[in-house]
Amino acid sequence: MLRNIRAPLALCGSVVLCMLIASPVASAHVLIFDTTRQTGAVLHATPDDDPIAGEQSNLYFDLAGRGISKRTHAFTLQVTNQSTDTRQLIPLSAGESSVSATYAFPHQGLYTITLTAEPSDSRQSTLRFIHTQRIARGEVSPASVQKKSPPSFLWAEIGLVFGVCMLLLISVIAWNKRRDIASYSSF
Amino acid sequence: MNIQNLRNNSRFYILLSAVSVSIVLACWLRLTTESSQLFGIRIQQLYGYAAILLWYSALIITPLGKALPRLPGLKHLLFGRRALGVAAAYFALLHVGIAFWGQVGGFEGIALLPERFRLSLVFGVIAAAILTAMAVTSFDKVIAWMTFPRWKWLHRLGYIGGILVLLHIWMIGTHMDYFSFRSITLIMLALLFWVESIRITGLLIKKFPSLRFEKIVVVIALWTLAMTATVILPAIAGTYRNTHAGDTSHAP
Repeated sequence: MLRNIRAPLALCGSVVLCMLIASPVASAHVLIFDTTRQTGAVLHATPDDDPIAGEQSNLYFDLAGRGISKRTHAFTLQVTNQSTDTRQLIPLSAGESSVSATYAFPHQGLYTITLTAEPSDSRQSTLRFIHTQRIARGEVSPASVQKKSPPSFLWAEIGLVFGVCMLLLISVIAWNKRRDIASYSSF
Repeated sequence: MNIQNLRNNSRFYILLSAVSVSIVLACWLRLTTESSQLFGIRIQQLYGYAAILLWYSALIITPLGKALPRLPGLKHLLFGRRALGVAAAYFALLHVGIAFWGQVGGFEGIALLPERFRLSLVFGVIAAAILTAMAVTSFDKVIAWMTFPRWKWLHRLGYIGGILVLLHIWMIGTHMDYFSFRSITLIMLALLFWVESIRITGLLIKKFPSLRFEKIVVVIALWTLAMTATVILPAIAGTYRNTHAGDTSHAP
């Protein structure tokens, strides 16, 4: 019976592989809280929470269930380039429970994204969501060409070597004892 | 259990490999991801996917064995299934820990989250709790203490946990945006439902022998029911992607 299903299985595997290769971009999410810790929002940034400098990135703030909407608040979105301290107000559109914008980060580096929600009811306080976004892909600014080398993580290097060695050791021992394992590990 | 038996036990190798893989994944990701925030997101996602894959493997072995009783290595697969479940619980706890304390900021943070995320997190935590309970009760002495019927009922909760995980992933899983990811998930679920349908039909035939003449009809009916419920799921559970879809004022 297994011989009969080999070809269909191989076909399914090929289809799955093609699907994996031809995939659209996904967005990811970051949880952020306002400066007064009254409420939270979820920021979705494309692609995959890792925007590419020089390419358009879609920014969505999910505010569902927090009592914040375009009917009760006026929104502004500002992006600040931390290396040059330049600030830019970004055009945005507000949905019932979300705010979205499209922005192309000019260069790699650190940016501060600030979403301000000004309530129409003056008795309520202004909500400010601040998020630091690192752009690590795409266009490189002239100033960052000579940037300092990225931080090294010695613990990660040691851990990686240790983990790989462990896997190799496990494989070798298991292979050598495969007959004993097969006879013991069975119902 | 003495050391000699431990070295001959496939479960020992499975669990040790799971721990080693978790270390390798974390270290490799840290070295290749400059942003600490992105590292946190990615490692939490990877651990979650590892938990799901291991849980799926553990779930499918028994019905696969019923459907294909002559499957090579079936007895070894059945023996190793327990370790796959424990490994799934291990990765699930890592996923929960990183997401809960690293990203959400603990209990205080949960209260401030959007509604959809809170609900999804509740589903995820319950599923992780079920998986952990199953892992903790995976010892022969515990089975003897609980008695097998009660232990079996507890482990049947694994299917409910699986449904909760599906809801959790559907509602906030970022990779559900990929058509390929959804398709692969559907194919894997279709396979699981198919073999489970065969197993359940076998049990029904034991109780109602007349059904054996309509075995294939019962199998297809059960499978269709399960697949329909899965396909209806998107209509029931909202996702953050629905929010974006409704926001047409900002078209790229």
